[in-house]
Amino acid sequence: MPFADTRVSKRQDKRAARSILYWAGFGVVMAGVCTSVVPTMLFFDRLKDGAQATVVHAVNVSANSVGEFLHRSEDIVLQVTSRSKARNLLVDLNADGIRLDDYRAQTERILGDALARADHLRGIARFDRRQRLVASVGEAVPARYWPDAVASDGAATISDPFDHEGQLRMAVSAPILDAQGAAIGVDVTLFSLEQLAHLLVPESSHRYADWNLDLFVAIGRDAGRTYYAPSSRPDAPVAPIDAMELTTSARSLDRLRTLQDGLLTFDDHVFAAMAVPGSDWLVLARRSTVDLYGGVYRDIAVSWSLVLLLALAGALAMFVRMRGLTSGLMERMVGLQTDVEATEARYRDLIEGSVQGILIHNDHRPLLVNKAWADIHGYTVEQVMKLKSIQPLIAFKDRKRLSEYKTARLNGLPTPDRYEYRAVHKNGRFVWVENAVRTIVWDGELAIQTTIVDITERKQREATEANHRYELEALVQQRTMEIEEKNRNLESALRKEREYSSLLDQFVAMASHEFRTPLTIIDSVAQRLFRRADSLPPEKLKESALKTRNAVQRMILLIESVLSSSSMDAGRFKMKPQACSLADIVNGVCQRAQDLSPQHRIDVRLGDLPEQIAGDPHMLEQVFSNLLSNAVKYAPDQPHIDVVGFARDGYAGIAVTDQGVGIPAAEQSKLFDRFFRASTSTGIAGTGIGLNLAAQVVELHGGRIEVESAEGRGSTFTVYLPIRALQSTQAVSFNPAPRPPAAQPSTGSA
Amino acid sequence: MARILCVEDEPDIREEIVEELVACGHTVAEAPNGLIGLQVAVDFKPDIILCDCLMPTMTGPAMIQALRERYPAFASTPVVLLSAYSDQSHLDEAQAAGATAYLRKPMDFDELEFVLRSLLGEGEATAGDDRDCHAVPIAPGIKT
Repeated sequence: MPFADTRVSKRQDKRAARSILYWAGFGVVMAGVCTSVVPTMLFFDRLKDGAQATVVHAVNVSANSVGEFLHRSEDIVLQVTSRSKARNLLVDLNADGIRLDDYRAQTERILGDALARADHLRGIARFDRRQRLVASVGEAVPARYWPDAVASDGAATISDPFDHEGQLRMAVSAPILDAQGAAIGVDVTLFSLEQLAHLLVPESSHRYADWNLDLFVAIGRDAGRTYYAPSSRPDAPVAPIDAMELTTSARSLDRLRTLQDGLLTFDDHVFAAMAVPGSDWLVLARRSTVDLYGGVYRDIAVSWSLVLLLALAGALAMFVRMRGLTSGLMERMVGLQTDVEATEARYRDLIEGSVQGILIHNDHRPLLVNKAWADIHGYTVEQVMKLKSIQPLIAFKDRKRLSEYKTARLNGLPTPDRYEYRAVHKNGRFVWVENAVRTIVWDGELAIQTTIVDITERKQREATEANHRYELEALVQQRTMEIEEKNRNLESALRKEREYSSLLDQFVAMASHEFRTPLTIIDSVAQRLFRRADSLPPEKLKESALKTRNAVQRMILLIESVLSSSSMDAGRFKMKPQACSLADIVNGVCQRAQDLSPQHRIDVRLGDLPEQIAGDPHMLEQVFSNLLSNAVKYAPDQPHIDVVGFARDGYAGIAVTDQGVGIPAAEQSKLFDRFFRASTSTGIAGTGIGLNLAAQVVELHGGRIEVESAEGRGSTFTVYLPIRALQSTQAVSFNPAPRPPAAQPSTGSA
Repeated sequence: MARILCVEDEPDIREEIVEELVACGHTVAEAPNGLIGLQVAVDFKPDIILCDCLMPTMTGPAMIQALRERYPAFASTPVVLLSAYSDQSHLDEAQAAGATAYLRKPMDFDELEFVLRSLLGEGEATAGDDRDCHAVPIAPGIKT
């Protein structure tokens, strides 16, 4: 099997060769750049040093913009205060009231811009019809040139050189024309001879050959001839241009004229060209042919020297590099020839002997696999190598994820280098593996090397641990909830206990009071009998006995009620059901209540009640006795009490209605609690066990008590006792017991 | 003899007290609860008021308090409170309401007579009196 070593060397060689090529290419490109760009730059720099280009520019600007300004300001009268003044002033005579300063500022700004860009002096003047100077602006121009300029009558004129402030100058005067073509002003520009080649008329050009210019050519037509004037040679004669050896092409001349200004090459010479405004003249100026080209050639020579140096350096570097590489390559080749087999064997051993499963694949096509990898999947190496794709060996659930990883990896996106997935064993079971992945080059192609370790046991252990943890957490949570529940129950019980305890205290006080009241009656009667035995009439004695009996009866009822309640509460109460007439019981109770409280009117209507129900008549008597005594007690000033009996839906119902104090809605739910007494019961004696007892008794009978009440308007207590259910109970446990006479209430034996 | 108002909701008890007081020679008016008791007191102008504690409509202490606050004429009229309650809290309540003396039910008529006399300034409580006295004088100056 070939291994990467030799391939790597070859690739390194290729890379070295490529880098040498790069260097060589770079050198060539640099040389090109230097030959073309560097001299060109230098050349332009030189041209810029000369004044020609700037002058050309300035002339054009001034002639148009300033002339235009003066032309449009016809209505503004401008006067020059003094022709002799160096700087002209604008005097305001503006009819429109526009401030002079504005015009001056504007004018000076426009001119200032133009003048600032000009390296020469210029001025603009306006004249009246008699050619008197009316206005002038700009830099000082000697006054003597104004009339001359105007007199030129539409054509540009160039003055003779003259001395101005210690320098030689020439003035070019161009007329400013109005719309009809009449001259309304003049544009005068002074040029210094030092700065530029200037305008010449053919006749005078030869006279100023000492302009310090190497070549000055004026091209123009004058009487059908074209002239040029070479400088540098003071006595050079003006010669016709066709005699010059530059060019004689008429086409070139036309082109020169239409160009107006700018740089142009003319027979391998570079000129600055300038059109003389309003004239047929084009001026070409060249500074120094020799210097110019000499400089350029020098620059080019320097550039080429640089290029040569660079190329030399590049060649040297290449040589050194090549030499080093060649020798290294040679050494390696020799080494390889001797070691290649041993190396191959070593690598094979490393991969084959690895306990980690190693697979190199290209888009799931196996390129190399070791025994450990095959073993993990239950195959042989040969079997794996025969597969077109190893994807079926990945659990279906993990394929998408792994495929995404692979795509991302090949696209250079961040992907995890290690991840876990389920491999599919030959026997169909899943094998959890941890996979380390890296991208490699294999046989010149991108491939993926995966190294896997079987982690099934670890996974199972983790799963078991996780399960244990969950179970433990669940258990803790459950216990916590139970404890919380218990706490809540305890708190609730404690609260109930406190409430109950408070109610019990109240009960004890009330019970004492309730017992003391009948005792007081008995004791009072007895004391009176004792004190007044002699004087009491016989009917009074009878009355006393009756009072005593009633009081005793009251006490007995009270005792029974407390005892019943207590036994009921303790669950000791045994009901003795027997056939009894509900109507008789209720009638009896009502009669007694009526006797005890003659001021109340108890209206009893029991027509609809069933003949008999099964129940404990004694307990039922207590129930109704309680309801009636409550109705009387809690309605001391409302004498009307209704007792109505009815049968409905298998229940016998008795409703006791009073018009007394009533029970607040908020307290009605607690009404049947033991010892509870409504807030409206203030001042009325009671133990708080009556309704509780009644409710328990009725419940034992399978019935229920309902209350309807409005505070201050009275209450209705309705007892529902089942008719059928109790009949069946009656059949099973009918066991009439004789009631003790003591418990038999006196039927109000008044 | 004095004019005495008896306010008691239990008819049998009230009847016995009233008859006994009449037999003793007092002029007696009666009322079944505190509210009526107040009205009767205004009309009857009693020298002493006997009053039950727990009564519907208006309790004894409430009546005493109303009497003391609303009717200046009764500011110092002695009021004997009768009660079947026996605990201290009710005694405190009676005192706060302005009761002069407090008798527990069942009350002793001799004792009642003694208290009435004391309050009327007719008889003197003798130190050697060996009767089991249940009267609990509350107002200062009527200590026994």
